[in-house]
Amino acid sequence: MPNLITGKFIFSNKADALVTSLKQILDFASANLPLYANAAIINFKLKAIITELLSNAVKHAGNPETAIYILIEDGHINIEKTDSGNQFNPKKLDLLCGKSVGTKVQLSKDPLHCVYAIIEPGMFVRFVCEENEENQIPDINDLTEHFGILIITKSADEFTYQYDQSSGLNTFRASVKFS
Amino acid sequence: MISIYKEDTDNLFAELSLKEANMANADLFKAELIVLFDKYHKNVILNIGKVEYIDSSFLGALVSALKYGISVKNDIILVSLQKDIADLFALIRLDKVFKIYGSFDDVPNH
Repeated sequence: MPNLITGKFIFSNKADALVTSLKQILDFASANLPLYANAAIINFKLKAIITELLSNAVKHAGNPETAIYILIEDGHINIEKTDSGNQFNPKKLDLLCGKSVGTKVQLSKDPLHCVYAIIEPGMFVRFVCEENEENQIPDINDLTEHFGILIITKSADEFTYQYDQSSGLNTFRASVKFS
Repeated sequence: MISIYKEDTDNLFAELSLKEANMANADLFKAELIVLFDKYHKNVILNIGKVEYIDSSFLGALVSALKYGISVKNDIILVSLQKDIADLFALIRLDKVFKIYGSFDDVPNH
């Protein structure tokens, strides 16, 4: 049986509580990383991911609190954010979910990156990012000013979103491998 | 939150006093930068060495302020980034957009 370590943290969805919650979650994760994990790299990725998940909760959750779950097992760490607030639905993803499995929906594009949501079975999407070839300094006016999904997608080995219609529960899940 | 350290003909040397650069102060940060461009008409060389935490909202404000600066023929140059912050800029390739140096003294021709 693989070892499983779990932690649950409740975040108040307030900007002034963000760093306190971030530190609390990072401390828990750091204390439970396996010895073979590169702590500096993993902690950098976790800091970036959790910062953006908590920021997203403040901006978009639409309800008073968000739960963050940490699961450490068998070569990776999962970070889950769940809330019962507003459904994440850019580009009307809800109309595609459950129907067009495998469809790649472009969420953003600028001279540096394209970010896509790939429709998976059920109300489930997986985010992927492609770096655009850019040999010159990009035109500043073409750059996006929205980096949240990009930061998590590039920090995590896998980043997904799932919406449970029956419970109205949103779940963002990021996974980081230890090697 | 931005204090001017010194200035020369073309540049303001400034320091950001924030440790936590996030959505709570992003709009004010952008507004302060725009005021500096409008008042001084100079590049802003900004020491952000105190920043330990930065989120996407603040990065968005920084890019937006740079767009404004470029539109009025000025620039934002960043110095003294902590390792995590520099790594985040590199991760999302903003190191290709901003000129970044180790310290004020490392900025060429200043």
